[in-house]
Amino acid sequence: MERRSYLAKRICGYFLTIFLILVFNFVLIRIMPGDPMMYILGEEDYYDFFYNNPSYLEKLREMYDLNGSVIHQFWIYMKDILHFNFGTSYHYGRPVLELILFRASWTLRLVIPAILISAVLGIVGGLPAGWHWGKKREQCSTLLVTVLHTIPTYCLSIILLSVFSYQLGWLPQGNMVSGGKSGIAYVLDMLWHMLLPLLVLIIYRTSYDYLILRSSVREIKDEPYIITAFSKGLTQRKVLLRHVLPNAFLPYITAIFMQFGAAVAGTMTMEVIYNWSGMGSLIYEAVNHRDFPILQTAFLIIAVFTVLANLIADLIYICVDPRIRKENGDI
Amino acid sequence: MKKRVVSILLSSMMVLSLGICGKAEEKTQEEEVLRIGCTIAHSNFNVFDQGGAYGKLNLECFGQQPLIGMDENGELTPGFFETFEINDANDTVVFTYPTDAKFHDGTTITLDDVLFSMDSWMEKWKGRGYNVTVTDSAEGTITCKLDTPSAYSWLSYGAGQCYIAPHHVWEKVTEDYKSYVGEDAHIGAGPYKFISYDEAAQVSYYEAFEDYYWGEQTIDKVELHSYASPENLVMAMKNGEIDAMYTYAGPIPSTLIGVLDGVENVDLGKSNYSGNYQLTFGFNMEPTKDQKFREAVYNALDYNLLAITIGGNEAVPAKKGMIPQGNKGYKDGFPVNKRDLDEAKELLDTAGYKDVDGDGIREDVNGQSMQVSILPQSGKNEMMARLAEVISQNLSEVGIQCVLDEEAIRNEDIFNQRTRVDKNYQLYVGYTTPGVADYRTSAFYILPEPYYQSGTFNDEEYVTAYQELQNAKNTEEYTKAAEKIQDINAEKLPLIALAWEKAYFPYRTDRFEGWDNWPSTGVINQETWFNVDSIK
Repeated sequence: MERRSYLAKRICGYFLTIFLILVFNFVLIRIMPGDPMMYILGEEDYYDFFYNNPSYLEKLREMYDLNGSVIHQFWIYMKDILHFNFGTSYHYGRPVLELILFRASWTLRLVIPAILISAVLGIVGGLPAGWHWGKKREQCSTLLVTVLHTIPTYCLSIILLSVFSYQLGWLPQGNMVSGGKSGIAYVLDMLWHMLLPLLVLIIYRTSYDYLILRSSVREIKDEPYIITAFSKGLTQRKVLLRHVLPNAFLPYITAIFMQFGAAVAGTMTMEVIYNWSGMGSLIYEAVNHRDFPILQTAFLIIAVFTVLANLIADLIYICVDPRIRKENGDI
Repeated sequence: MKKRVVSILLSSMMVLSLGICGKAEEKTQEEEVLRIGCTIAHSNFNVFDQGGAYGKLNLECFGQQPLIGMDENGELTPGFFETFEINDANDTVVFTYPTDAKFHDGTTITLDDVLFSMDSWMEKWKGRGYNVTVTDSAEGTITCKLDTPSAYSWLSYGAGQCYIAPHHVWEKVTEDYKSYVGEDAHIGAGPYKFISYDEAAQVSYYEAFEDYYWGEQTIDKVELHSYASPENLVMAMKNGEIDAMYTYAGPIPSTLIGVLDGVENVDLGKSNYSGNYQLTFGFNMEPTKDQKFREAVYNALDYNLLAITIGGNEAVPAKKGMIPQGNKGYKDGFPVNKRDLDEAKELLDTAGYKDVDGDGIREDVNGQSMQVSILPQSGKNEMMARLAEVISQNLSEVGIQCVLDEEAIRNEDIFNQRTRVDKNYQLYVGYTTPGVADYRTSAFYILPEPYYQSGTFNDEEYVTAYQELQNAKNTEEYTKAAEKIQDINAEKLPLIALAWEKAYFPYRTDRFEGWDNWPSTGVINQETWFNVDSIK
């Protein structure tokens, strides 16, 4: 019963968060400078109509629901969201939801494998590094990882692109697939295209995961229960897997789930550099073109995903950590 | 264990060879396909949407049939309308069109479609200052009347960029036509019909329209590839991913051309460029409304440095007449822009802009320290900002303190307020697109309303000359008016053309032949579809 009430409180909090994000989303986008009609029509046509044919400009403004009061616009905005009607993109002239679902699917194809592979590599590297804290091997690997983590992703992306695509010509210079392929050839072509962006993401995320797990392990390696485990005659491998890893896992889970929450937002710089048509590049283009319907929907979906990821992390905490269950009176 | 490793290796090899086989097979299929690259994103495949890659390529008579065509010299040619007769008053045009031409869906184009199409474009034409009415029509012919004597100009700048659209498709559409996304939105009467779009690959596919009325296409299939940046586009050409590039309203930056220079089977596609960067003066503000000040600025600029900044070693300083060499209406005989710092200083001294307090900065006629603001046309275009910096530096050498209008660069609303509402700018770095250069000249940007919203040069003689240009009935009259505009510009200096560039529209020569590189347009033009053929 207590656990249910704990969850109910959390879910109410999340709904409130989403509502506030909706309001913030609406306000933020409308205080951005620039008339969206200019981006719908293009600068030349906009000013042609602005001066020579203003009545037509007004008619279009009405058609796009841009001429009402802010309250009226907010009412339409909320009504449309509740009906899952996210409108039409000003720039692409296509339904926003269709565009976002397509782009999000490509972002997730890139980001989810990167998160999972990095999470595994983070454990493989971070666990022994934390355990062997201060030793030469750990110092070398941490130095390397820190260097990789501090190189900006756009910088690493450009270097790899320049070497492997422009200079050597081994890998494509961007895009997600070549087009005109199907079946296994399509899959291979996609993997070929995603190799570089995936590599950059893995490098960046692995270094982050490595550093987190290494710190967690280091904090608990001298705890009395670890000494007890050794005194019981367990091998180092068993101590690491049964006692160190589960206890070092909580901050790691938080970090990984936060990455999942942000996954749908894409990685803007990476996507722009590699011409990967995902959510990041969609948001980038939408900002450039003042494409309000896309921006609003994209931000909303990102917010919902982040909240969902937090909720899942909460649930996992309850399952994994007995202390949380105890705090909420379940045990 | 060993067996498992061997089997994994073998299966990997099989998968890889499948991939290679797939690729090899597609390579053979690709042989007949013309692959065009661009940096414009694919948006809506719609007759009325001219913003995306498809919409822009349609301006070159691709998926849609323009009402009127245009040749490489800017002369009007038949389009959907086979003939067009302008009356002596230059306000009425009688068109004829074929009655057996078809749309991509196989339906015959009727008078109803023609009248619908004309009606659909009316608001756009009105926006450009042409009030057009269809006064008479019968199957095969229609007559249009304008309320000003600007029929020739309307054909060039209005009808040439509009298409024939099927009424039976659009009669059901109630929203803004541009946002209609139905599967039939693309249907037109152009030489190529839209087949599909691979959004993941950013490639759209087209096939020659078998019932095309106006000529026989030489290429069976076309692919339009969209790239994120000019750098990607250039590399795609170098790697042989594309055969030609289409860059609307501007060639690829000259800084990138070195990547393709000397590459086997790549022609750089060099030609004279009809557009140009320019410095315009605000006539609502001091000291830029003062002719002596403008002449001093003219003499203070380092045109060689500006030319290199704009177009590398290929660009040259412009002439005082402003219209680039090779453009329609170009008049020879004006001096080449040249720096003369002594002359600039003397002009400023005689105009009363002297450095009285000896701090290196001149004071205005009221004794106040003179500060002139400079505004690049758009914050997004790095070149404009770079040119503003060079000009600013040049002017400081004759004691004019120049400041970049950072506020307007950062905020588009302030920029628009400054340039189009208050019109209180002093120096303005702008750009004439090839489209405007071909039909209106740079003068278009500096004239006051009703010509252009940010123009401030309300000179009667200049306005009259521009009206003559707008109302020209033919190329001869257009040229005469353009020459008059150049004379006045050289005398009164409302605008300084900063450099004349070369345009590069590179293309590959290993798969196709018959390319014709149109100046400022490149090898992808209205004739490409009928001249370029694969090398057998």
